Amino acid sequence: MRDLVFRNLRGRPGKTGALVLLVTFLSLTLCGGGLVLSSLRAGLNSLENRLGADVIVMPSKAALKTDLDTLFLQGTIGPYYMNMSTVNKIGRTEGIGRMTTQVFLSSMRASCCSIPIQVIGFDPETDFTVQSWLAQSRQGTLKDGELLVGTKVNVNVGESIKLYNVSCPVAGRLAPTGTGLDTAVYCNLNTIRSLMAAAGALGGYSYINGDPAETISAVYIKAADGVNVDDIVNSINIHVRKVQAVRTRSMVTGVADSLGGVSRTVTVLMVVIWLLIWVILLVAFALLAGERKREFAALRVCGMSRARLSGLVFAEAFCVSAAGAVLGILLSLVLVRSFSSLIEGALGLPFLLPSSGTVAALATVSMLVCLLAGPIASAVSARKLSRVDTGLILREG
Amino acid sequence: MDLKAQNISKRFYRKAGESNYFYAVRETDLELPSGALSVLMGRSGSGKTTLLSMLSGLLSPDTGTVTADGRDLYSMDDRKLSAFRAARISVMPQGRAVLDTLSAWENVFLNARIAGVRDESLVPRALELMERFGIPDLKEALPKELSGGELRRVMLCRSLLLSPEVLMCDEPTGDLDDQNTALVLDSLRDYAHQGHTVLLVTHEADAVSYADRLLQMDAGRISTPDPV
Ligand SMILES: Nc1ncnc2c1ncn2[C@@H]1O[C@H](COP(=O)(O)OP(=O)(O)O)[C@@H](O)[C@H]1O
Ligand SMILES: [Mg+2]
Repeated sequence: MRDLVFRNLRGRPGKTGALVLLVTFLSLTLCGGGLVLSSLRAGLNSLENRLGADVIVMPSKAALKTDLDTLFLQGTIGPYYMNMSTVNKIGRTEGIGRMTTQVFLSSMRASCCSIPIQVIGFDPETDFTVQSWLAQSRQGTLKDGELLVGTKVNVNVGESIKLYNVSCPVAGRLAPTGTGLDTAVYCNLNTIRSLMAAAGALGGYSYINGDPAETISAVYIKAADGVNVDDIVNSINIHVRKVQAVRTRSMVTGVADSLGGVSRTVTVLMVVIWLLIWVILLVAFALLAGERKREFAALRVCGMSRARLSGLVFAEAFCVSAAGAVLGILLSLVLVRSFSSLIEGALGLPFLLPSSGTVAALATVSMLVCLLAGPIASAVSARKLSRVDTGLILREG
Repeated sequence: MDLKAQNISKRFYRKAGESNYFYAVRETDLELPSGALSVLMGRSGSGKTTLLSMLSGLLSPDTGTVTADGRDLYSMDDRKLSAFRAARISVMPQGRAVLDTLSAWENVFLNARIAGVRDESLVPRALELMERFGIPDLKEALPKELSGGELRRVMLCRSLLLSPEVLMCDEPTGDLDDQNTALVLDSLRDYAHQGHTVLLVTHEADAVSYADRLLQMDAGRISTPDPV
């Protein structure tokens, strides 16, 4: 009986292939769609964690020019800076729990730099947004001149990147965040200041006038426990000039809102496509059943019971479904992995492949659903074939 | 094993749902004794196949009962009846009853496979049967590569492989030449004389001379003329 199933399937490779392909699409829709959805969710979570801060303060000019919602998708806010006295003023605001500063600089598409890239200088002493993402690094703290790279930067730990004619060794790599931050490199404030000096010397950053030590791009604030974040935001916006404070959660909420919309669309699309394919599968099984009546009549005449005839149909559908499900799962992993940056760009949302546990869970669910959906789709034909009229082959001359 | 039919009949509707029906087989009593070759003859459309189907457990009659070895076939549930048929009643249908995905050799073993019989001694028996009917070279052939006559002999080998107590063949010599026809008729008579119950449905006039018992069918009615 079992070998009969395999013989039947192998005996008509074209039709078996077509059925497997249909189930592959079922599983691809389910697993691929699920992967996209959970990648978006993982991206959002990561963005929230990455921000770590409740408030981000940046120069008003930067705030004007930057779409806040996409700030962190693109990486940095551009060449706008505030000076240390402003930072100190911000620091005097009541209710601040932690505060850290960052400096942004872009390398140039020129011979002085090995790659055009965003450089983010952070203060290792006070930092609470970058170092928690350290994935792989040498022991010890980040030394002057050393870089951490985002997960998508194509330079290995131990190699160097040349920035404004300064060769900077890569000391570590950050975990993926699914945002534009993945394509940036990170260094301490000393390093970025010497890089700015080097850039100024090359004439690349004519707008940096004055002391690089006085140049800050953004201030990140974590509110002390029990403090209303909005009070901090308002206080800074009222008392400190030329800067704008923004609640990071409003940024994330923007992303979360569009994520909700995209999720709904993807889910609806997934369900519709899935059902459509399932109906096609059902029709395909039914059509094949019509073709196979004589075969089943022969089995019946040879003494096979109705239950075993249906069993045969179900077993075939089960094998087809298993093969299709596995193919679909593998295919969706490959597709989502290789097109993740494309999807990220198209949706304008952070996109981060979920943990292997989530992937395994998704794969398992897709597998189970396909193993159910395939045989159920074949139920009509199983019924038809198990009740086949043996007169078909008994009477024919 | 004796096969006994009491008062069986089957009617069909001209068109589904209409009250306009006709009898393919009229109320009939019939007994097929073991050890004898019963030959059922009659014109096309006279109800031979319908009768054979009812006798073999494949078509439930409208009236009457069929008993084999004292058991009422149609009071068994499908699983029991199928198992009973697989083990004890072999049917060689008039039509093409093979699996196209299996080789001729595997088709010969189809009944055994379904009945769950895995006896090593079946292999030499299958070889011997294929040899006897002149198709030993066709073991690996696929059904679609075989001629009608070759296919029929594959089906005959299959029907005989498990040495069933009851064997029913519907037009087994349909597309065979005279020599092979004689061979098949001879084999069926031998098989009957070994103590089995054999029903041969045919319109082959030659079959009359092989018959231990001759049944004539006409418009659903059976008569038993004396063997010639
Ligand atoms: N399932 C069926 N539905 C309607 N008519 C049928 C069916 N089976 C057989 N018949 C009719 O019953 C009659 C007897 O058929 P059959 O037993 O096959 O005859 P034979 O085998 O003697 O040629 C024929 O007229 C045939 O058309
Ligand atoms: Mg007939």
